Amino acid sequence: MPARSVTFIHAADLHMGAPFKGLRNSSPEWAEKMTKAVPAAFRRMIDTALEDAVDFVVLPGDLFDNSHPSFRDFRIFLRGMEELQSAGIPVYYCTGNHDPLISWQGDYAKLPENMHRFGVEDPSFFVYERDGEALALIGGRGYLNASFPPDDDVSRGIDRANAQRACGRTAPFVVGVMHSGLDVDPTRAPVDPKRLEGRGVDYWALGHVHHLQAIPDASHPFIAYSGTPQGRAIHEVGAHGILEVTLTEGAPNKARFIETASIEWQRVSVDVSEVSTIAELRELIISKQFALNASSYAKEMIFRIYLTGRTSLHKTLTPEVLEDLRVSLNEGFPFFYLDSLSNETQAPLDEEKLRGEGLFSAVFLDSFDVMTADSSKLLSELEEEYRELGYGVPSISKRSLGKVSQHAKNIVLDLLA
Amino acid sequence: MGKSPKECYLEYVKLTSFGAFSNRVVGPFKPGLNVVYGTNEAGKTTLSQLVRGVLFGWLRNSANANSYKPEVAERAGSLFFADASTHESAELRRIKNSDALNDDFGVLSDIDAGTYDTMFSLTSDELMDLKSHDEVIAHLLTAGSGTAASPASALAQIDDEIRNCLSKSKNQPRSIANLRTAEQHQRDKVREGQVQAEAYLADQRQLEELAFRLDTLTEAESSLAGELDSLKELRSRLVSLDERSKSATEALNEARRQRTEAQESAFAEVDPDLDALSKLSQVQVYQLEEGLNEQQRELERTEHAVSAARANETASRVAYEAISRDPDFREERASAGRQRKVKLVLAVLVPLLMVLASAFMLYRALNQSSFTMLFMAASLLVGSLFVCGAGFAMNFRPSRVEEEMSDRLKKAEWVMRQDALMLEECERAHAEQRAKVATFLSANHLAQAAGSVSQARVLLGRVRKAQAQAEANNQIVHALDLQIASLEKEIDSLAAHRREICLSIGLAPCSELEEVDKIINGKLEERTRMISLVSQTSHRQGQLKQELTQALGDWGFEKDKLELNRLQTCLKDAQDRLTSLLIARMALSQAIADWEKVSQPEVYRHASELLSLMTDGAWCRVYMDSDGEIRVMDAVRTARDPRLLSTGTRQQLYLALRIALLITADAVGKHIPVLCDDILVNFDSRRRKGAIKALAELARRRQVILFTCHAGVVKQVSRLVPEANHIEL
Repeated sequence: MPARSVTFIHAADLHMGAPFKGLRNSSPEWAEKMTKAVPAAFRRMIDTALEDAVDFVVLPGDLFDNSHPSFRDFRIFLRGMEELQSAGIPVYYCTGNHDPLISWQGDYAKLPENMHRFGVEDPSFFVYERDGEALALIGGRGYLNASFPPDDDVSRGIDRANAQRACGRTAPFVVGVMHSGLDVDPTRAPVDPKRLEGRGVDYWALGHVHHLQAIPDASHPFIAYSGTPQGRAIHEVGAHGILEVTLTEGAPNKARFIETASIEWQRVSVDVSEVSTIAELRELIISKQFALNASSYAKEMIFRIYLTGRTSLHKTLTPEVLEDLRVSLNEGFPFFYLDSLSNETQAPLDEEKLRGEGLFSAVFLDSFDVMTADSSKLLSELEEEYRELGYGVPSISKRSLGKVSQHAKNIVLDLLA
Repeated sequence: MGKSPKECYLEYVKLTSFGAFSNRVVGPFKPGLNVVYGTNEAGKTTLSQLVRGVLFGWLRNSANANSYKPEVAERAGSLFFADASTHESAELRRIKNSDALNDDFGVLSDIDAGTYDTMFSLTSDELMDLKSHDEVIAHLLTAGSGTAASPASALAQIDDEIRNCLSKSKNQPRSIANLRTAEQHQRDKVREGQVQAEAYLADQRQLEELAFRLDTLTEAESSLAGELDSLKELRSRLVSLDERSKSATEALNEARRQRTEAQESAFAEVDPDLDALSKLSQVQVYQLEEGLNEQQRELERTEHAVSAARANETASRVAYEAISRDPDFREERASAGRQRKVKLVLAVLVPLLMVLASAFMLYRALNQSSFTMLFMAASLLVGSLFVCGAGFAMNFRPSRVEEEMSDRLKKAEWVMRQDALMLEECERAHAEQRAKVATFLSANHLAQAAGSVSQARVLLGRVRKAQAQAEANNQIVHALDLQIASLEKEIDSLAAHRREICLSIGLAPCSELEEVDKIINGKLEERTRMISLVSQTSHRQGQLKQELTQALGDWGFEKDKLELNRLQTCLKDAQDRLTSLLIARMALSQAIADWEKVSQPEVYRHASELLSLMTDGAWCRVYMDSDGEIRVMDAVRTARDPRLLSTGTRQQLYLALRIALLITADAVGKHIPVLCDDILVNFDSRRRKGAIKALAELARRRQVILFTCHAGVVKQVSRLVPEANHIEL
């Protein structure tokens, strides 16, 4: 008897309806491309499932974004699900922190019958059958509301024994589906990966982390994040897509990463120490963009470029100059978009020397060090300043405080120089 | 690793390849004050540029400044430093900017390019800039801080930027306030979009409901239409039924009337004479008629016979008479007799003749002995015998004609007799028959006929007629009965049908057409209403579909969300920038305060001394008052704003501050010479003296190189500062 196998699509964090985040600038055509990118990636996922005639699809949470999907997003989603239903492909999904169960209760439409949702208080199990034979037991758990109770283990009860008991059948494969931070994000239903072993589960399909990550590796995963099908923020750089997983009896799991994103993000630092004119700078940026684009699947890229290095251009690269440069670069090439070009260069100053000289700059650097040594004191002083301005105090994290302080120092040194 | 300032100094400058120079060495310089005298274009500025270039790197070629790059060579130069005590020498050489400098004496260890530019090169241009009032304070402050821009102006700029950040003015689109407004506005748009999305979903739901409703309505409408059709059909059937019923009833009435008529006429027709006869059945009548016919036939036959017999008798009698009385006949008979007699005679005569002839012939023959003649005689004889015989035979008896005639007469007589007998017989039969007929007639109720068959026949005919009529009547009546029956049946069935139809419509069995019409009209109204409902629903459906199709093509909501996020990012950036600015301001303010407390007093102290020296006591003090303003105090202790000083005095003040800073900042660039490029050019002779004295003060602590193109300055220097070193370019 030949070894049985199942093939399914693991696509997490669809985030239908989510806009692109963290953009500094936008142009009308790129706004258009960006608004269409997430639904396009979803469409590619459906097309892949139909073309490859997979057995089923798992969606571990965050199908919808809490920034409220548009009417079109719902239609596209429902149509995709209906097409899967016509092709006889069931969909198993759980709710995530961005689309918890309470947000699904709005009853916005009748969901097609091939969609099966996992429970929230306790895990639930479904049987996948092909030609009357039970091939896979799929168990999972979702979120009731946006935060998962911290003392509750999201993976509780998802194991082969429970699955078989709940379904009353046995099957060669057991798949676990969860929206969890694992050990990557301790704030979202975290689970120690080691505790997912030894349960008789063949594959854990996880959602929440937006880039591909797998244990032990992405070609033969046991636990995997498929990542989001389309990166939506500047920190979601690189390739994005879905996983097509094949489980085979008596053989290791196999997975194929399929890219579905139409827009890719990249953050690039460009060292401009050797550059002395704006024209040279422009050429350097263009060649960097092309080099990165060549290695990427998605034809369209959004860049954020940080100019670094010590250069005499430091002072010339004012925000206005950079903005002009950015706009002219964007006009030149339709498939790159430069969302921001920031000046992180430094004047050709040597801080050490300045300190040594003992002049005003040195005095400034000394008092700066004293002030920033104690971050909580600095924060409270900042709050005082804000209050004096009559402004609401923004929340500043300790980590960003460091960056902001560095920036402050550079502002002063630039002004003094 | 630095050596003490007094020990290490710049001794030679070699312009290997720089500007117009090639392999030119200038020096030796000594620690303390050096004066370099050279006419214009001799290369003073070139020299100071080379020093800077070797120390901190050649300037890039740019359109704005002279980079001193020779046409066919790379720039190259060297600075030779010497150690006064050990007489060691170190060369600091630069060819390419990227080369690492061999800084054995560590001359660059305590100085940075920016500081060098602000502190160590004094040019006449800077002094000239003090002419403008606005710049004075900034320059003076800068002069005291060792930075290219004064801390106060840096602070002012930061304050400006902070103000811009907080501004609500439309000129500052990236201010926090404006960004917040824009973000709020965008948030509202997104909320609207969300509400709209919800509305679209509700519309979608409604669309589905409408589709369902439309189906139901359409079905209902079409079933109504069907009902109406069937009602109309039933109605028309009713109408036709009623018509048929009516015509049937009319026919029935007509038939009934006819029947009554027929019956009446039947009764009227009865003939008392024929009463008995008419009671006979048709068969009997027929039989009777047959009988009559027979009798009649017999009668006729007998009559016929009688008349025939009579005719015969008459004919035969007449014929006999005719014959017997016919004279011709008699004549003929007589003649015939006579003829016979003649013939008899002839018969004897002729042969006799012949015998005579023959006898003659015989004689002749015998005489002639001719056979022929003999023969002829014989034959003649025979013949004569023959003829005689024949003649006798023929005419012996009475001739045929005679016989015939007498036969004729006899026959006629016989016939006549026979015929007379026959006649008798026939007459007798006839009378018999007549009697029979009479009997027959009376036996059969035909006594009225009085023995006349024809009369009887007529009677029978009448009977027949009456019977036929009665029969016909009966048949008519029967037919009418049948008709009536079938009509009644028809009427009944029509009525039943009608009842059925009425019941099926739901009316009372005997409802009128008006009621049906009422129902039909009712349904028509209903249908009209339903059609209008269908049209309304369908219209609304169309509207919704269009709206939703448009919604599918409208990316406004997505774009709004994107824009909101973008604004939020910009807002965060702006807030971060504000935070940085606030930190910068705090640190800078603190630094200014510290500076004022520590370093500044020393600088101002030295500056006051130098100023007093330079102005021969006319101005004895420069300080910063409690408001942070620079003040200059004159000999009579009047404090003045430096902006109110004359240009010359301002320049002296500036120089005093610069030199004071160089003196105070003894940690900076200990081995680097201070290059003064023709700074005395605008001073008059007296002021020049003061400035030279101040430079001499500086020269006590640092190596100073003064460039000048005036011989007078050189003379003054050598007079005032005898130990100064002179070099000519």
